[in-house]
Amino acid sequence: MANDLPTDNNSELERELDRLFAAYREAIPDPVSGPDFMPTLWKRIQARTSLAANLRRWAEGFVTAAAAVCLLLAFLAASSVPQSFWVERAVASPDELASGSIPEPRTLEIAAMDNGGTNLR
Amino acid sequence: MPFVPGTCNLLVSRRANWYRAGESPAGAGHAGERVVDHELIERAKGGDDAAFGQIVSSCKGWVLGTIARLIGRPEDVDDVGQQVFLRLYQSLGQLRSPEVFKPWLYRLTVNASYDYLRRRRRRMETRVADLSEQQMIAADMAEAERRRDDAASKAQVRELVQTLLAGISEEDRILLLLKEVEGLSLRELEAIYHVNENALKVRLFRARQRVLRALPASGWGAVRGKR
Repeated sequence: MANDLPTDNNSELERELDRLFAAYREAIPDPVSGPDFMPTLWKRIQARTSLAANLRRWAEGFVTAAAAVCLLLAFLAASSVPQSFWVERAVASPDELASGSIPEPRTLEIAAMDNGGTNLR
Repeated sequence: MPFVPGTCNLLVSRRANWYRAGESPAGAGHAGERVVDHELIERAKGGDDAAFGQIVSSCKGWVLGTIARLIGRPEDVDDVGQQVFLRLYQSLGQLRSPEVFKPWLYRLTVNASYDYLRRRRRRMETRVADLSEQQMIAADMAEAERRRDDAASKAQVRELVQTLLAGISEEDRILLLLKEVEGLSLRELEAIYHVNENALKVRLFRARQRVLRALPASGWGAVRGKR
Protein backbone atom coordinates (compact mmCIF):
# COMPACT_ATOMS: atom_id res chain seq x y z
CA MET A 1 0.00 0.00 0.00
CA ALA A 2 1.25 3.46 -0.84
CA ASN A 3 2.14 5.62 2.07
CA ASP A 4 2.32 9.25 1.00
CA LEU A 5 0.83 10.80 4.11
CA PRO A 6 3.00 12.97 6.31
CA THR A 7 3.90 11.27 9.56
CA ASP A 8 5.57 14.21 11.28
CA ASN A 9 3.12 17.06 10.69
CA ASN A 10 0.25 16.53 13.10
CA SER A 11 -2.06 19.26 11.80
CA GLU A 12 -1.73 17.93 8.24
CA LEU A 13 -2.64 14.48 9.51
CA GLU A 14 -5.62 15.96 11.34
CA ARG A 15 -6.81 17.50 8.09
CA GLU A 16 -6.33 14.21 6.26
CA LEU A 17 -8.41 12.43 8.87
CA ASP A 18 -11.14 15.05 8.52
CA ARG A 19 -11.06 14.51 4.74
CA LEU A 20 -11.31 10.77 5.25
CA PHE A 21 -14.35 11.15 7.52
CA ALA A 22 -15.95 13.50 4.99
CA ALA A 23 -15.29 10.94 2.24
CA TYR A 24 -16.82 8.25 4.45
CA ARG A 25 -19.92 10.38 4.98
CA GLU A 26 -20.14 10.86 1.23
CA ALA A 27 -19.58 7.15 0.53
CA ILE A 28 -22.54 6.17 2.72
CA PRO A 29 -25.44 8.56 2.11
CA ASP A 30 -28.77 8.16 3.93
CA PRO A 31 -30.17 4.97 2.38
CA VAL A 32 -33.67 4.70 0.97
CA SER A 33 -35.56 2.05 2.88
CA GLY A 34 -37.02 -0.93 1.05
CA PRO A 35 -40.73 -0.95 0.07
CA ASP A 36 -41.54 -3.51 2.75
CA PHE A 37 -39.90 -1.55 5.56
CA MET A 38 -43.15 -0.32 7.13
CA PRO A 39 -45.19 -3.53 6.63
CA THR A 40 -42.39 -5.60 8.16
CA LEU A 41 -42.05 -3.12 11.02
CA TRP A 42 -45.77 -3.33 11.81
CA LYS A 43 -45.62 -7.13 11.64
CA ARG A 44 -42.75 -7.17 14.11
CA ILE A 45 -44.58 -4.72 16.40
CA GLN A 46 -47.71 -6.87 16.23
CA ALA A 47 -45.76 -10.06 16.95
CA ARG A 48 -44.05 -8.45 19.96
CA THR A 49 -47.32 -6.95 21.23
CA SER A 50 -49.16 -10.26 20.99
CA LEU A 51 -46.29 -12.01 22.76
CA ALA A 52 -46.48 -9.46 25.56
CA ALA A 53 -50.27 -9.85 25.72
CA ASN A 54 -49.91 -13.65 25.94
CA LEU A 55 -47.38 -13.33 28.72
CA ARG A 56 -49.69 -10.93 30.55
CA ARG A 57 -52.61 -13.35 30.15
CA TRP A 58 -50.49 -16.20 31.53
CA ALA A 59 -49.34 -14.05 34.43
CA GLU A 60 -52.90 -12.99 35.23
CA GLY A 61 -54.07 -16.62 35.05
CA PHE A 62 -51.27 -17.66 37.38
CA VAL A 63 -52.12 -14.91 39.89
CA THR A 64 -55.83 -15.84 39.78
CA ALA A 65 -55.02 -19.52 40.32
CA ALA A 66 -52.67 -18.68 43.21
CA ALA A 67 -55.35 -16.51 44.83
CA ALA A 68 -57.92 -19.31 44.44
CA VAL A 69 -55.56 -21.84 46.04
CA CYS A 70 -54.92 -19.42 48.93
CA LEU A 71 -58.64 -18.97 49.48
CA LEU A 72 -59.20 -22.72 49.35
CA LEU A 73 -56.44 -23.38 51.89
CA ALA A 74 -57.79 -20.66 54.16
CA PHE A 75 -61.25 -22.18 53.93
CA LEU A 76 -59.92 -25.66 54.69
CA ALA A 77 -57.94 -24.37 57.65
CA ALA A 78 -60.95 -22.56 59.03
CA SER A 79 -63.37 -25.46 58.60
CA SER A 80 -61.18 -28.30 59.95
CA VAL A 81 -61.84 -29.57 63.54
CA PRO A 82 -59.32 -27.97 65.87
CA GLN A 83 -57.13 -30.31 67.93
CA SER A 84 -57.71 -29.48 71.56
CA PHE A 85 -54.80 -29.10 73.92
CA TRP A 86 -54.40 -31.50 76.82
CA VAL A 87 -55.38 -28.77 79.28
CA GLU A 88 -58.68 -28.23 77.49
CA ARG A 89 -59.26 -31.98 77.34
CA ALA A 90 -58.32 -32.41 80.99
CA VAL A 91 -60.75 -29.72 81.98
CA ALA A 92 -63.38 -31.26 79.76
CA SER A 93 -62.94 -34.82 81.13
CA PRO A 94 -61.13 -35.03 84.49
CA ASP A 95 -61.92 -38.83 84.69
CA GLU A 96 -59.77 -39.47 81.68
CA LEU A 97 -56.91 -37.61 83.38
CA ALA A 98 -57.39 -39.67 86.53
CA SER A 99 -57.27 -42.94 84.55
CA GLY A 100 -53.89 -41.95 83.13
CA SER A 101 -54.80 -41.89 79.44
CA ILE A 102 -53.76 -38.27 79.26
CA PRO A 103 -50.21 -37.88 80.50
CA GLU A 104 -49.59 -35.43 83.26
CA PRO A 105 -47.39 -32.50 82.49
CA ARG A 106 -43.82 -33.01 83.57
CA THR A 107 -42.44 -30.49 85.94
CA LEU A 108 -39.10 -29.09 85.28
CA GLU A 109 -37.21 -27.72 88.16
CA ILE A 110 -34.42 -25.38 87.45
CA ALA A 111 -31.80 -25.28 90.09
CA ALA A 112 -30.72 -22.10 91.66
CA MET A 113 -28.19 -20.08 89.78
CA ASP A 114 -25.51 -20.56 92.47
CA ASN A 115 -25.28 -24.22 91.43
CA GLY A 116 -23.86 -23.14 88.17
CA GLY A 117 -27.06 -23.82 86.26
CA THR A 118 -26.12 -27.46 85.68
CA ASN A 119 -28.72 -29.05 87.96
CA LEU A 120 -31.54 -29.70 85.62
CA ARG A 121 -33.92 -32.39 86.75
CA MET B 1 3.81 6.84 26.63
CA PRO B 2 2.54 7.42 30.16
CA PHE B 3 -0.66 9.36 30.59
CA VAL B 4 0.02 12.90 31.84
CA PRO B 5 -3.26 14.57 32.75
CA GLY B 6 -2.02 18.12 32.29
CA THR B 7 -0.62 17.45 28.82
CA CYS B 8 -3.73 15.62 27.78
CA ASN B 9 -6.02 18.42 28.91
CA LEU B 10 -3.96 20.96 27.00
CA LEU B 11 -4.23 18.93 23.84
CA VAL B 12 -7.90 18.35 24.45
CA SER B 13 -8.58 22.04 24.85
CA ARG B 14 -6.87 22.70 21.51
CA ARG B 15 -9.21 20.25 19.80
CA ALA B 16 -12.10 21.59 21.83
CA ASN B 17 -12.31 24.71 19.66
CA TRP B 18 -14.11 22.90 16.94
CA TYR B 19 -15.74 20.50 19.38
CA ARG B 20 -17.47 23.51 20.89
CA ALA B 21 -18.46 24.90 17.51
CA GLY B 22 -20.94 22.05 17.19
CA GLU B 23 -19.99 21.41 13.57
CA SER B 24 -17.63 18.61 12.78
CA PRO B 25 -14.79 19.01 10.29
CA ALA B 26 -16.43 16.30 8.20
CA GLY B 27 -19.18 18.82 7.69
CA ALA B 28 -22.26 16.68 8.13
CA GLY B 29 -23.88 19.00 10.65
CA HIS B 30 -27.50 18.36 9.80
CA ALA B 31 -28.48 17.21 13.26
CA GLY B 32 -30.42 20.39 13.94
CA GLU B 33 -32.96 19.65 11.22
CA ARG B 34 -34.11 16.49 12.98
CA VAL B 35 -37.14 17.88 14.75
CA VAL B 36 -40.37 15.98 15.29
CA ASP B 37 -43.62 17.72 16.15
CA HIS B 38 -44.24 17.50 19.90
CA GLU B 39 -47.96 17.01 19.45
CA LEU B 40 -47.25 14.03 17.21
CA ILE B 41 -45.08 12.50 19.92
CA GLU B 42 -47.79 13.03 22.54
CA ARG B 43 -50.36 11.39 20.28
CA ALA B 44 -48.05 8.44 19.64
CA LYS B 45 -47.44 8.13 23.38
CA GLY B 46 -51.19 7.93 23.84
CA GLY B 47 -51.32 4.90 21.54
CA ASP B 48 -52.12 6.59 18.21
CA ASP B 49 -50.57 4.23 15.62
CA ALA B 50 -51.05 6.72 12.78
CA ALA B 51 -49.00 9.30 14.69
CA PHE B 52 -46.33 6.69 15.33
CA GLY B 53 -46.28 5.89 11.61
CA GLN B 54 -45.75 9.58 10.86
CA ILE B 55 -42.86 9.74 13.33
CA VAL B 56 -41.24 6.73 11.65
CA SER B 57 -41.68 8.34 8.23
CA SER B 58 -40.11 11.61 9.33
CA CYS B 59 -37.17 10.06 11.23
CA LYS B 60 -36.52 7.03 9.05
CA GLY B 61 -34.09 8.82 6.73
CA TRP B 62 -31.57 10.01 9.29
CA VAL B 63 -31.97 6.97 11.55
CA LEU B 64 -31.17 4.61 8.68
CA GLY B 65 -28.33 6.89 7.51
CA THR B 66 -26.78 6.93 10.98
CA ILE B 67 -27.09 3.15 11.26
CA ALA B 68 -25.53 2.68 7.82
CA ARG B 69 -22.49 4.72 8.80
CA LEU B 70 -22.19 3.16 12.24
CA ILE B 71 -22.39 -0.46 11.13
CA GLY B 72 -20.88 0.01 7.65
CA ARG B 73 -23.08 -2.62 5.99
CA PRO B 74 -25.91 -1.16 3.91
CA GLU B 75 -27.60 -4.54 3.40
CA ASP B 76 -28.42 -4.89 7.10
CA VAL B 77 -29.60 -1.33 7.67
CA ASP B 78 -33.34 -2.00 7.28
CA ASP B 79 -33.25 -4.80 9.82
CA VAL B 80 -31.44 -2.72 12.45
CA GLY B 81 -33.68 0.27 11.65
CA GLN B 82 -36.79 -1.82 12.29
CA GLN B 83 -35.27 -2.92 15.57
CA VAL B 84 -34.82 0.75 16.54
CA PHE B 85 -38.43 1.68 15.76
CA LEU B 86 -39.71 -1.48 17.44
CA ARG B 87 -37.88 -0.45 20.61
CA LEU B 88 -39.19 3.08 20.19
CA TYR B 89 -42.76 1.75 19.97
CA GLN B 90 -42.29 -0.27 23.14
CA SER B 91 -40.59 2.44 25.16
CA LEU B 92 -42.39 5.56 23.97
CA GLY B 93 -44.60 5.51 27.06
CA GLN B 94 -41.51 6.03 29.24
CA LEU B 95 -40.50 9.22 27.44
CA ARG B 96 -40.62 12.02 30.02
CA SER B 97 -41.09 14.92 27.65
CA PRO B 98 -41.08 15.43 23.87
CA GLU B 99 -38.01 17.69 24.19
CA VAL B 100 -35.78 14.70 24.87
CA PHE B 101 -37.21 12.69 21.99
CA LYS B 102 -34.24 13.19 19.64
CA PRO B 103 -31.48 12.09 22.05
CA TRP B 104 -33.79 9.25 23.10
CA LEU B 105 -34.11 8.04 19.52
CA TYR B 106 -30.37 8.49 19.01
CA ARG B 107 -29.71 6.35 22.07
CA LEU B 108 -31.98 3.62 20.72
CA THR B 109 -30.16 3.87 17.38
CA VAL B 110 -26.75 3.62 19.01
CA ASN B 111 -27.82 0.69 21.21
CA ALA B 112 -29.30 -1.25 18.30
CA SER B 113 -26.09 -0.64 16.32
CA TYR B 114 -23.99 -1.89 19.25
CA ASP B 115 -26.10 -5.02 19.46
CA TYR B 116 -25.74 -5.59 15.74
CA LEU B 117 -21.95 -5.10 15.83
CA ARG B 118 -21.61 -7.54 18.71
CA ARG B 119 -23.72 -10.13 16.91
CA ARG B 120 -21.73 -9.64 13.70
CA ARG B 121 -18.40 -9.96 15.50
CA ARG B 122 -19.50 -13.30 16.95
CA ARG B 123 -20.77 -14.46 13.53
CA MET B 124 -17.58 -13.37 11.77
CA GLU B 125 -15.37 -15.13 14.27
CA THR B 126 -17.24 -18.36 13.56
CA ARG B 127 -17.31 -17.81 9.81
CA VAL B 128 -13.60 -17.02 9.45
CA ALA B 129 -12.72 -20.00 11.59
CA ASP B 130 -14.81 -22.25 9.32
CA LEU B 131 -13.31 -21.08 6.02
CA SER B 132 -10.43 -22.96 4.47
CA GLU B 133 -7.51 -21.05 2.97
CA GLN B 134 -8.71 -21.74 -0.58
CA GLN B 135 -12.12 -20.38 0.23
CA MET B 136 -10.50 -17.26 1.64
CA ILE B 137 -8.51 -16.74 -1.59
CA ALA B 138 -11.64 -17.25 -3.70
CA ALA B 139 -13.50 -14.75 -1.53
CA ASP B 140 -10.67 -12.23 -1.92
CA MET B 141 -10.75 -12.64 -5.72
CA ALA B 142 -14.49 -12.16 -5.83
CA GLU B 143 -14.09 -9.07 -3.71
CA ALA B 144 -11.37 -7.73 -6.05
CA GLU B 145 -13.68 -8.33 -9.03
CA ARG B 146 -16.45 -6.44 -7.35
CA ARG B 147 -14.18 -3.47 -6.78
CA ARG B 148 -13.63 -2.90 -10.47
CA ASP B 149 -16.92 -1.13 -10.86
CA ASP B 150 -17.62 2.56 -10.38
CA ALA B 151 -18.39 2.24 -6.67
CA ALA B 152 -14.95 0.81 -6.00
CA SER B 153 -13.44 3.91 -4.45
CA LYS B 154 -16.44 4.42 -2.15
CA ALA B 155 -16.16 0.82 -1.07
CA GLN B 156 -12.47 1.35 -0.43
CA VAL B 157 -13.17 4.42 1.71
CA ARG B 158 -15.79 2.47 3.65
CA GLU B 159 -13.43 -0.41 4.25
CA LEU B 160 -10.54 1.86 5.09
CA VAL B 161 -12.54 3.69 7.75
CA GLN B 162 -13.86 0.41 9.12
CA THR B 163 -10.32 -0.97 9.28
CA LEU B 164 -9.00 2.16 10.97
CA LEU B 165 -11.83 2.16 13.48
CA ALA B 166 -11.33 -1.52 14.20
CA GLY B 167 -8.33 -0.46 16.26
CA ILE B 168 -10.51 1.22 18.87
CA SER B 169 -13.31 -0.13 21.02
CA GLU B 170 -16.87 -0.36 19.68
CA GLU B 171 -18.00 2.31 22.13
CA ASP B 172 -15.28 4.75 21.03
CA ARG B 173 -15.87 3.95 17.38
CA ILE B 174 -19.54 4.83 17.62
CA LEU B 175 -18.81 7.94 19.67
CA LEU B 176 -16.22 9.13 17.15
CA LEU B 177 -18.52 8.48 14.19
CA LEU B 178 -21.39 10.32 15.85
CA LYS B 179 -19.12 13.31 16.39
CA GLU B 180 -17.02 13.33 13.25
CA VAL B 181 -19.34 11.88 10.64
CA GLU B 182 -22.85 12.51 11.94
CA GLY B 183 -21.86 15.98 13.08
CA LEU B 184 -23.45 15.82 16.54
CA SER B 185 -22.38 18.51 18.99
CA LEU B 186 -20.92 17.70 22.39
CA ARG B 187 -24.13 18.90 23.98
CA GLU B 188 -26.11 16.41 21.92
CA LEU B 189 -23.68 13.62 22.76
CA GLU B 190 -23.99 14.54 26.43
CA ALA B 191 -27.77 14.15 26.18
CA ILE B 192 -27.41 10.79 24.45
CA TYR B 193 -24.77 9.27 26.71
CA HIS B 194 -25.62 11.05 29.99
CA VAL B 195 -21.89 11.62 30.39
CA ASN B 196 -20.11 14.80 31.44
CA GLU B 197 -18.86 16.94 28.52
CA ASN B 198 -15.23 16.86 29.67
CA ALA B 199 -15.23 13.10 29.89
CA LEU B 200 -16.61 12.96 26.37
CA LYS B 201 -13.89 15.33 25.12
CA VAL B 202 -11.17 13.19 26.64
CA ARG B 203 -12.63 10.02 25.19
CA LEU B 204 -13.05 11.57 21.77
CA PHE B 205 -9.54 12.95 21.85
CA ARG B 206 -7.99 9.62 22.76
CA ALA B 207 -10.01 7.75 20.14
CA ARG B 208 -9.06 10.31 17.49
CA GLN B 209 -5.39 10.13 18.44
CA ARG B 210 -5.38 6.36 18.05
CA VAL B 211 -6.97 6.63 14.63
CA LEU B 212 -4.53 9.39 13.67
CA ARG B 213 -1.56 7.22 14.61
CA ALA B 214 -2.83 4.45 12.34
CA LEU B 215 -3.69 6.75 9.43
CA PRO B 216 -0.29 7.08 7.69
CA ALA B 217 0.01 3.30 7.25
CA SER B 218 -3.62 2.81 6.25
CA GLY B 219 -3.33 3.45 2.53
CA TRP B 220 -5.59 6.49 2.62
CA GLY B 221 -3.02 8.43 0.59
CA ALA B 222 -3.32 6.01 -2.33
CA VAL B 223 -7.12 5.92 -2.16
CA ARG B 224 -7.32 9.72 -2.00
CA GLY B 225 -4.97 9.99 -5.00
CA LYS B 226 -7.34 7.87 -7.11
CA ARG B 227 -10.39 9.95 -6.20
